[in-house]
Amino acid sequence: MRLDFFLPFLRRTNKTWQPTPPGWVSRMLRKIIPASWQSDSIQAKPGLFRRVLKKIGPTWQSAPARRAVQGVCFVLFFIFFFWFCWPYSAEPGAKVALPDGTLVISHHAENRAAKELVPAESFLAIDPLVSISTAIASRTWVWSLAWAAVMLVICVIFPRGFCGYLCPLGTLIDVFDWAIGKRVERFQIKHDGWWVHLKYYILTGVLIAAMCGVLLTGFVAAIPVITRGFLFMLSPLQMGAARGWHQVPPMNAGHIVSIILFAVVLALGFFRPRFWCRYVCPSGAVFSVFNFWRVGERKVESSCIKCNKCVEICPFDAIKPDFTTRTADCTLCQTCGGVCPTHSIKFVDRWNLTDLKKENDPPTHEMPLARRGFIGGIAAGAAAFLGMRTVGGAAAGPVPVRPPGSLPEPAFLQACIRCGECFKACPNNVLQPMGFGQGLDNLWTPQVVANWSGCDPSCNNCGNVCPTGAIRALPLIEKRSAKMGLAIINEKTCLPHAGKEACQMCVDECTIAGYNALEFVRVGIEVDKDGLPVEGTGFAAPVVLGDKCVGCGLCQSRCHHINVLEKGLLKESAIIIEAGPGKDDRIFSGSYVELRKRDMEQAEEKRKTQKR
Amino acid sequence: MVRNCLVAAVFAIAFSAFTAESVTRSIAEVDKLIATDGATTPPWFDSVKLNFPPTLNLTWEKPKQKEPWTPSKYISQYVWSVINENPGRWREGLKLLYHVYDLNKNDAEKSVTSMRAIARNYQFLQQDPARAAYWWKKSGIEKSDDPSDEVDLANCYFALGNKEFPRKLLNDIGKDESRHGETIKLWADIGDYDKALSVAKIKIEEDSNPDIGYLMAGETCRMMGNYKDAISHFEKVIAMDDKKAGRDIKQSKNRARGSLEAVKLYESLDLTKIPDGTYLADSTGYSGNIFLSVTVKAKKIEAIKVVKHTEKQYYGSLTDTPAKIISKQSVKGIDSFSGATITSEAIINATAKALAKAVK
Repeated sequence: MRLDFFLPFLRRTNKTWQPTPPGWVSRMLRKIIPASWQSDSIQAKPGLFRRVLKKIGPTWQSAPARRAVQGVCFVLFFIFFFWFCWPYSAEPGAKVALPDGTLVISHHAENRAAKELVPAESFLAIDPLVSISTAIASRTWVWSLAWAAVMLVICVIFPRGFCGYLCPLGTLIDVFDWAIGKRVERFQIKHDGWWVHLKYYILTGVLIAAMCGVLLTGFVAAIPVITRGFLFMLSPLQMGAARGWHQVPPMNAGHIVSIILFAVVLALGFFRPRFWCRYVCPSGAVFSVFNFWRVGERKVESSCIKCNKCVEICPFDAIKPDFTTRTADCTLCQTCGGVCPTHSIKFVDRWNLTDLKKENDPPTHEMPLARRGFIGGIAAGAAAFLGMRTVGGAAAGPVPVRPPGSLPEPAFLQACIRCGECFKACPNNVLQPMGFGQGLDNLWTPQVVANWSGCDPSCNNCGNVCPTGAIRALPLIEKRSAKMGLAIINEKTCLPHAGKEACQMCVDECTIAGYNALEFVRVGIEVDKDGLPVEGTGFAAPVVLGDKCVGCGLCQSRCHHINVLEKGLLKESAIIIEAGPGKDDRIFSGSYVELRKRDMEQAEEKRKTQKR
Repeated sequence: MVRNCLVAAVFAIAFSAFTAESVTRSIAEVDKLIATDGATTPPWFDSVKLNFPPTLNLTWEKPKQKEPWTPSKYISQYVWSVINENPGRWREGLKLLYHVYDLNKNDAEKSVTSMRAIARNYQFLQQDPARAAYWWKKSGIEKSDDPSDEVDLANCYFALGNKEFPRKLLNDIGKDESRHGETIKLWADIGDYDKALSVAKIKIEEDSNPDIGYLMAGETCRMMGNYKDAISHFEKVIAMDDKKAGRDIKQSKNRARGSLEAVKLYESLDLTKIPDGTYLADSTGYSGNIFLSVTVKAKKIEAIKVVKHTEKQYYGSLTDTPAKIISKQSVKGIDSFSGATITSEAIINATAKALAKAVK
């Protein structure tokens, strides 16, 4: 089995040397590319195709197929993030029927579903560390485990192919290194050092923490890192330019820390290109571990002249000093294949033993895995577990209002990978990442900020882009029944309740949204000497119907924007969403519509027993 | 804000302004309609569930002197505060009143109270004049000593297409001694504007509630299309000294302000009177004020530009609503942009305000 598709080094064919027969990719390319662009292999004159690639760069010249796949995946990542998750392409119009027949708006849900030809969170789903660590931490099946399994199976044939071909973070690092990193020389280091196996120690630490029930993966796994980086650095630019700068939510310390971490990941490129991918990335470490079961492998034939070109160009430091392969690190990117002047490198099945080069010639001294490193990793994982539970902690501050359809709280924190997809997909930034205010446990997890905006009744985006199911993916009808919290009116400050002036914005909002959970009661009525109410006196004040309120926050949002910010009548909104037992629906499985039905049946029973 | 004032005013004089039927009926025909249709229950009646707080006293117990307002206990207060305020509860309110009527059939006085409560629900909430009239009659309102008690019944006859009954009653009543000016309003509703204005004049000069007189005169002029006089009447109410005016002066002023704004902003707007220029105004939108500049040239609205806004979910309303206003050359009858109603309304309001400023 041959897996070659690099562009072989152009060498004159003669009696002593014949190139290897072209693989099917080469044969297909030779049919597609016009003859005038192809190289003359007899005279070793490069054709237009090669000349253009050479201009772009050496890695393009040697493995253009790999660069092409990388480019496509990079563009796809941008499309998924900046288009699929961009909710503002939705325009009102679409409607869907509730069980009782009422039509309600559904344009956000339908717009996203129509755009998502493949799930927007696909890259997060194929990062196996995301689903594996989440499954361990929450002790449940996570849907993206199936995707991870498929990816790992593919990577058995193309070991660590994810890193070489698909990972958008890797491609971004390549771009950064080419543009900036490689041009600054003073921090560059050689290969060998204590850091070469760092990724395994980090992976150990993360898995230990997960076994203790603490999910740290989001800090260090590849795709969450790039998703969050884009979210905090680029998404505000998209929002500001397209919708207006007033729509960009304010940043907190958590944003800054995430941006710094992302900058550090890229800045590692000053030490060595793709430093992160080679030595640090724990997602890569998962693939490296699975390389144990690889089918494909890079092999070197005895015709090797030890020119060192392959070692110098390998993006993953996967070639030993004796020019054979570090099989745990090789991603089959095939960049080495195209620079080998003697065509000694081949990508075949691992059981192919034909004509192999002698090993350990020159002698290699591989850095062994250090026991210290693993102990350090375990200790770090355990320390993080203890730290998360004690520093700050959820006790400080009100119970955060979570997105609709969130798992019950301890499980939510164990399943939320803090990737940032839900924030991106949420229209009007209702969901915002928590900062350090309520402990490290809550850092970068989503909460509903009802002062900023209310949860759109036509939208079910958050659950449908969550890669782990921390927010359950719900159909719109279910989402509309899923309680996030309960609206509580402060009767001392609410303008009509306090007898100050008429105001009914919250009631109007709730009615327009179709929840009808706010109704009026007339208060402050003046009574004449006969004890009869004087018409027109008093104010129509809002009352929350607890069985209908889902805690969407549209009411709080309006009161805050107009009464607090615009008119300065109040210091804070007079109607505030609160979460907690009895106020929100946090279930692992099952229908929220059914929950409401059961609630109504219980209420009806109670009413029947009370009637005289 | 305009919306709130309008709601308050409309509710008070709710019934009379609605479906004046285009059919004309004689008193005998209306009587027959009342006796047949009016005696039945509405088609939806059986499907509505009986629902009320368990703390409610169902025997019309009267609140004591100086007792605080307790809608959870007293039916009349419950109806006033909870049922009337919420259209979603109007039907279950009616069901409750039927239930209370059943429970109190043996007490003559409580029976009448129940029947009149049912009549009010039919008239002002369900907008059902035939059934309302049936229950007014059943409660014996026609035998009342004071003819002005029958004004509500007369409104039912008018709604069912008869002007003779109301006219006869109003002539019997003579002056307006009603609390909110219902008598004058009914004159205006049946089209006798001159009569309405003369009764209003008497109210202004002789009654202890002259503010009501001015208010009703204003509403009458408004109905006639005489916006100039309507505005001056409303302004008189607003300028009144609270001590010299009637017991409901605060409410009258609110009603006057609401009506004044509506007339000025929408009904009396005449583009031919606006000089060329660019006018600025703002109005409360969804998340804050929307600031507009309106350019008028050669008696036409030439351009409307949103100068500043903090709206979030606005879809296309910021361009669509101004375009609609310009193409219609009016602020009346403009459809809101679907999904951005409040933003659209704010743009319409701000445009109307800007133009109203220009006329001054």
